[in-house]
Amino acid sequence: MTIVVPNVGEEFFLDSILAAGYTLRLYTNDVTAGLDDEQIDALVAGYFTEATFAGYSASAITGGTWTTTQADPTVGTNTQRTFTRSSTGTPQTVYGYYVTRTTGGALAWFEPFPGPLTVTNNGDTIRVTPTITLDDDKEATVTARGIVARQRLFTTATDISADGYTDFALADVAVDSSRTYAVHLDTAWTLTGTSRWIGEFRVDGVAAGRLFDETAPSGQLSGQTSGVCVWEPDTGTPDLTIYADEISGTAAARFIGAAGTPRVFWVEDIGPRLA
Amino acid sequence: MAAVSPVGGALVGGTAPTTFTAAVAPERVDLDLVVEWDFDGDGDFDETVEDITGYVMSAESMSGRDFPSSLTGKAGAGQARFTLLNNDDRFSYFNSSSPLTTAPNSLRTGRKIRVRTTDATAADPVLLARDRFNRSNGPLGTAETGQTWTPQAALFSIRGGVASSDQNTFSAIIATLNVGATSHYAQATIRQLQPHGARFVGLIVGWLDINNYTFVVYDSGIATTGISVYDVDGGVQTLKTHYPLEGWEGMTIGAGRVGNAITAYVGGVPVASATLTGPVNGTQVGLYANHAEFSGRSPEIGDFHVWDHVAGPADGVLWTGDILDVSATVPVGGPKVVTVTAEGTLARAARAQVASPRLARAGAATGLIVGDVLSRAGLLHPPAPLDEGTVVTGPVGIDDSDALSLARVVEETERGFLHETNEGPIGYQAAGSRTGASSLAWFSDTPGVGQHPYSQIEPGDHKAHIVNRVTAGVAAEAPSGISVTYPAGTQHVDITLPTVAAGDLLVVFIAGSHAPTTDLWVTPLWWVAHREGLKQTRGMRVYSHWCDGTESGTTVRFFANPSAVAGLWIAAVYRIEGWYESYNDGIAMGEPVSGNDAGPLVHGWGRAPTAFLVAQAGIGATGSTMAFSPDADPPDGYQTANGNITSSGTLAHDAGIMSGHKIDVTDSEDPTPWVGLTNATSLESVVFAVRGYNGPHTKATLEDPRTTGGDGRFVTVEDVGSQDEHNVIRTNQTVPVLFATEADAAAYGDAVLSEFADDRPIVSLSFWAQSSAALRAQAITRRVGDKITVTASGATGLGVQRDWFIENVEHRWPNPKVWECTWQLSPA
Repeated sequence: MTIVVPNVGEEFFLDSILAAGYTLRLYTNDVTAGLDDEQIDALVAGYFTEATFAGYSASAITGGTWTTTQADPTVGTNTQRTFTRSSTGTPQTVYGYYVTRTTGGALAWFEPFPGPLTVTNNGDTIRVTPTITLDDDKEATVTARGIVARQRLFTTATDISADGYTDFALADVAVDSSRTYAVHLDTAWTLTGTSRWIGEFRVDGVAAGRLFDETAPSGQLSGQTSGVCVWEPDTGTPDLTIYADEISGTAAARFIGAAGTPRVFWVEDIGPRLA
Repeated sequence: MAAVSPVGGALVGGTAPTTFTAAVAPERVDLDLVVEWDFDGDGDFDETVEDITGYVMSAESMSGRDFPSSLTGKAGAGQARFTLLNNDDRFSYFNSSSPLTTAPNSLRTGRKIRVRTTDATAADPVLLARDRFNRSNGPLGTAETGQTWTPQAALFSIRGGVASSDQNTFSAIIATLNVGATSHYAQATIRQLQPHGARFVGLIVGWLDINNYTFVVYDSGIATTGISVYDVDGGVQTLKTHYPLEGWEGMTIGAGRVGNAITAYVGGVPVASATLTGPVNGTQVGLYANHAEFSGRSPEIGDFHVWDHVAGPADGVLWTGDILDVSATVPVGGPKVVTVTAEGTLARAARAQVASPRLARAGAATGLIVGDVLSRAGLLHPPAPLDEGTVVTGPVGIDDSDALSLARVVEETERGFLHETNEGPIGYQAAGSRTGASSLAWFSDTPGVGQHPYSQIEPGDHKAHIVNRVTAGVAAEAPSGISVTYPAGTQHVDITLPTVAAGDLLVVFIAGSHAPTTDLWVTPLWWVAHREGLKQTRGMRVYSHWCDGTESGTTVRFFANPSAVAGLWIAAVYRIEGWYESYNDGIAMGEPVSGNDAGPLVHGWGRAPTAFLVAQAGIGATGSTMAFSPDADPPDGYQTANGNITSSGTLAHDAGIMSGHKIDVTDSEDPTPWVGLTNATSLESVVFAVRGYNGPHTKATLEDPRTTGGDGRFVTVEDVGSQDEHNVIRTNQTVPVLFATEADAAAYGDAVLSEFADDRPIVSLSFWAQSSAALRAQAITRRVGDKITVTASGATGLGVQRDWFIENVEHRWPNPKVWECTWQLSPA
């Protein structure tokens, strides 16, 4: 048996969580550096070094002031918080923000920034829009959601004569770590001479699969490729691209699209992720 | 009613949109740089003429790895190039009227040149004292830097270019000199550490008087072997801290004192520290030894230096190196210019041929060995920050080479980072230093995301550096468990064997006074005779046996004496565990030599850890009683000799034998003469070598299918998925061979595969440092090894946002108003 939390339930629970008062603070130590997941799970508020630059003060978030929206996942947001330095001085590096409970001061959640931000000058400003989501575990009742992102190109791409990114790209694709996705590429192609090309599916620039592997002339000089790979991502909104990699030869690769026969790159939600 | 066990529920998550807005609009800033040249060679840049900033037309510098990969990229010597205005001919090499060619100034190669910011806080260590004892044997006298050595307790004297303690009683031997500062760092090399148990040798810092001082020593005591820090406060001596270490001959030890903090160093690496409670106003530094009575060589200290502090990063220093060439350009209508090229300190390491460190018994943390190599090349004067390292090697026995090559052998084992610091000295980062590193800056091509803009990002060739098969080697082991007994008897030479285990080696040296007329000596079954001698002669006999474990307590006959030929015998029976287990490659013996000099032995297996046994056998002489020598010291480096003599009442029937051993890593051995037995005839000496294990028959080899044997032990780890994916098998080009265990070698392989078995993006990132104060600050403060975050998913379209390590830093100043900074980045 599996508990099912529909969107209306998600919003109810999220409202309940956000009815409490919180305080959003910036921290200046790289609190997760060198820690494993278990150690990170054991963090408490005392491990965070709060920012002290001139003009800084923690920002209270009054309980019940959040805006929640039912969706997959359900999202709660609050008004943007602004932290502005009031005088130039010793640089202070901010690694992220953490949120404590107003009552008792215990740590509720935290988020490291993708990189450090150094606040030095009078007027340097960091803005954070408090955001929290609540999603049902496994989405067990939804076996497949279908296409979640798609790109159709009705023209032929510029020849690719050296390793590089193709024009197949999907930006900010919202995906969930509880789901499994199929990534498809369907396109006509031509290789201008003896060569072998592969197409890497990349997630934020990192290889995550292969969508085509075509060779000429031992195979054929042109044809239609329809590749698919299974993708099990972390939750997020990554950018998806296809990188063309010439394994051998010096010929160019051409991807052919037309009004009636577009080139298509799409991502399909194919169901809950297996344990 | 059915039981229900629901699973699942709700997940909380999310990402808060975050932006950074700089208050100060990007505004061009001055470079504010200084270029200075140590024309007078005094180690600093304090002369007015040494600031050549006003003559610089353009410049560029580079340091770091030659390729942005912690596996395949190696840091070579940094390079710099300066184009200088030479209208007054001051930089003309042969212009004798130039102030720069007038003594003590010189345009010669090798002088130091540096690029720094105008507000840099450069504070190079200042030499307070130096004594390399390169003068005649005798009292210590006066150090090279002019201070007088004061013998505070007993005596140190100069012998053979080192300071050697003269006293053989177990009490402190101390000599000090005054450096005039209470905070200081002292460093020296130490030798003669092992021949006798319970030896202390090291350095004194903060000496106030005989009742108040601190000392850092290598302690060769059985239970406390390692580096110890002691404080003497009001005459009471307290052990403050200890660092376990099996020391080696010629190792470099250091002691730093700042206020009441004391730090012990090995090879320039801080290994232990403590806080003192006693007075901290002593300004004297010196030598310390303490050892029991021993007639062999005493502890020795050499290459003594004291600085006011150890080197460290200095804010604002961008590059330091040595002048390589000064080349004038003859103009046609244009300004007169010279081109100055300089190279980083690693060039000196590449040129310095040094003896490799010999860690015969056990290995050490990689940083300690790197520091030792740098010390041998004179590149630890003073040390830059050197990490201890996370990998502890096995025994180290490698061929002599240049210091850079030797250091890289160790660097590869650690997957560390040997590099030039901005201040000049060579630094070393352990692999672990990157594990917990924090990103120090966030560069981005997307407005509102990250903090610092950049002008260009260029992907590098990532495919050529995939590695999906890794081989790593395990260091040879030192022979272990060496024990000896000295049985004796009459009539038959029947030797009862000691307790042994399968795989042990027994080596038996026998001296017998029998003089039979027929050959009564026999080689027992399964024994090998290395020296039998003629049947009637009384010379030393040597046998060995590879044990199967059943020999314990059994008696073996080497001389059958049914006719009761008069005579006595005595033997030295050595049991050696952990030997090579091969008669072809694991045993060698020199030619027995008449007298007390065993003569040389070239064993033929190179620099593998080896047990050297030296034995001396003799027969009693008519008219005088054979005895141990009252000065029964063994050859240099050997542990105290032992032995026995028979006492039959018939002097000519007595037999005597003495022996000693050491473990070393040498291609050959030539023990110094030693006087073991006196009043003996037929005196013979011999050296016998037993190689430490590095063959195919270890337990690990049998139990771990990834281990292969043969000439050394190697572990190979594969990523077959990567091999299939890339349709190629790519092996690591440099195979590290110093791991202590198969598990360590496998861990190395796993670590390499986890990082290099698949494509990894590499990029170079450039920005104009003069564009804003923030970018100029980044150009100044970021160094090789730093971690940064780069977003390249906006205007550049690379679809990348991740952390990187800076592997190479290049500065380019095409004119005094422009500063381009380029970093080669490897993925974190």
